[in-house]
Amino acid sequence: MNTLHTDTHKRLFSRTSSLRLRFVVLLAIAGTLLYFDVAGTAQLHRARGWVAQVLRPVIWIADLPHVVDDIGGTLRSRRALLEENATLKHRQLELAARLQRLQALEAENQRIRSLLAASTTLRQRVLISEVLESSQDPYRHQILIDRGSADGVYVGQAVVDAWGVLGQIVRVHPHTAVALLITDPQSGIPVEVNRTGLHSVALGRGDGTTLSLPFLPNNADVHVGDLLVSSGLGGRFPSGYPVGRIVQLRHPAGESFMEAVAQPQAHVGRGREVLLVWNTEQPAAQLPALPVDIAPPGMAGHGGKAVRPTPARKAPVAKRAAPRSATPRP
Amino acid sequence: MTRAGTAVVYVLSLFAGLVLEFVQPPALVAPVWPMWTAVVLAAWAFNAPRLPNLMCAVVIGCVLDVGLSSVLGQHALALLVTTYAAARLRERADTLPDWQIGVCFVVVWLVNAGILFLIDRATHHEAAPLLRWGPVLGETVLWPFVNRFVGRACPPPPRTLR
Repeated sequence: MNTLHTDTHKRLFSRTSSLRLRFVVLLAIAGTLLYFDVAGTAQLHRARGWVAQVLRPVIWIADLPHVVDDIGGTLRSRRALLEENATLKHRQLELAARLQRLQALEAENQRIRSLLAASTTLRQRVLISEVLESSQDPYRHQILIDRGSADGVYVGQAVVDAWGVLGQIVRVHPHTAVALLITDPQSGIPVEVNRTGLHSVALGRGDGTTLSLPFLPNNADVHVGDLLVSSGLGGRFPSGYPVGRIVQLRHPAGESFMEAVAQPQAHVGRGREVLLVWNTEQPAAQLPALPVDIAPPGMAGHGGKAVRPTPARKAPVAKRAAPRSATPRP
Repeated sequence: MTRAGTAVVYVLSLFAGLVLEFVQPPALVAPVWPMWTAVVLAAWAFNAPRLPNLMCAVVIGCVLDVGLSSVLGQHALALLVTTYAAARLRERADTLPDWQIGVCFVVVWLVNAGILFLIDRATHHEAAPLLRWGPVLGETVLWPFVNRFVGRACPPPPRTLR
């Protein structure tokens, strides 16, 4: 009996060549996909939508540990729930009192704004969304949310959480959407220092925890602890939302600019719910040109440009109110 | 194991690998969280080259590209090359002891990470490169276990009577 493996016999047509042929064909297919996706072919975008639909059960299963964790949370003891209920009641009372004060301030603010003939956008349309998945790709700080084009979500829409700006939508599928977090190195958000009104652009540093404000003048009035808020320039992010707090100022030797490092206010990579904001403040067409062009990833080859920050310029404090439309907006 | 049983294990293992790609790992192991699909596909290509591993590599790669929102074809290309390399390694390293095969596969994981790294560079996705290469360590540690599991699930090699 011959017990030798069949592979040890010499074949006329080796299996290796068939493997190589298949490899070359599939390599060509993968390369073609890569080329056309970078080129931004619309058909591929539609195909992505279909695959994203098919992928939903997989992501749901991958999310099961969180679901189980949530179920465990709901099965806490009655006593703990009662304690929590009491605490929340106290908190609610406290917040209700604060809200009354805020309502008074809002009314006062509206009166002042109408006197200045400026637009008012204190109420914005928002939609709560759940984070389905956060990207495991170390090169992309992105999250997948459970709202898509069916809910009116659009590319460029701002995503915030209870503490500040979280990012923006870069890809929309029918029932899901991908948001680029502000810590992603591809992300740039126009900000202003709340204390002085200094305008700059906060760029993601790629480490997941900090933002960078490059090219600040060496004598810029910026201190550690300063709050950065979205300036609203560019029309993508609504103005006035907290973005980060400056934690470090760097003066590279020999450079004529300094760099500020900020920590995001939003709980990046920690929350389960986010808020989608419809920016009704000002249409992008009416805005002055933004010093950066924030392009979604993968779009660089067809119109989108890489984030290119310019040196910061100091804006007068009342600048935002003056140049806008003289007609009040609803 | 019968052929049908192997097919079931094949599909289930690929599905499990795909799910594990999307699981949020604990912060401690996140930097070295392996690319599960690459390890599973390489193990199947190494142990059972007759299965449609290359085709599965491209399909799963495209699904990963959509799920991870990367450029379509990036993971497909990396998985395809990894799977092909594993299949070719079988021809040369089949007789080597397990630890030497494991060492050979470190190169395969580096090639996989390198392809992803280069495509990221070409499409202007810049971040700390250490995070791209960290999974190589996880894949190296995971390989012996996955290889042993897949080896047990494979049908015995065909023998001929003459």
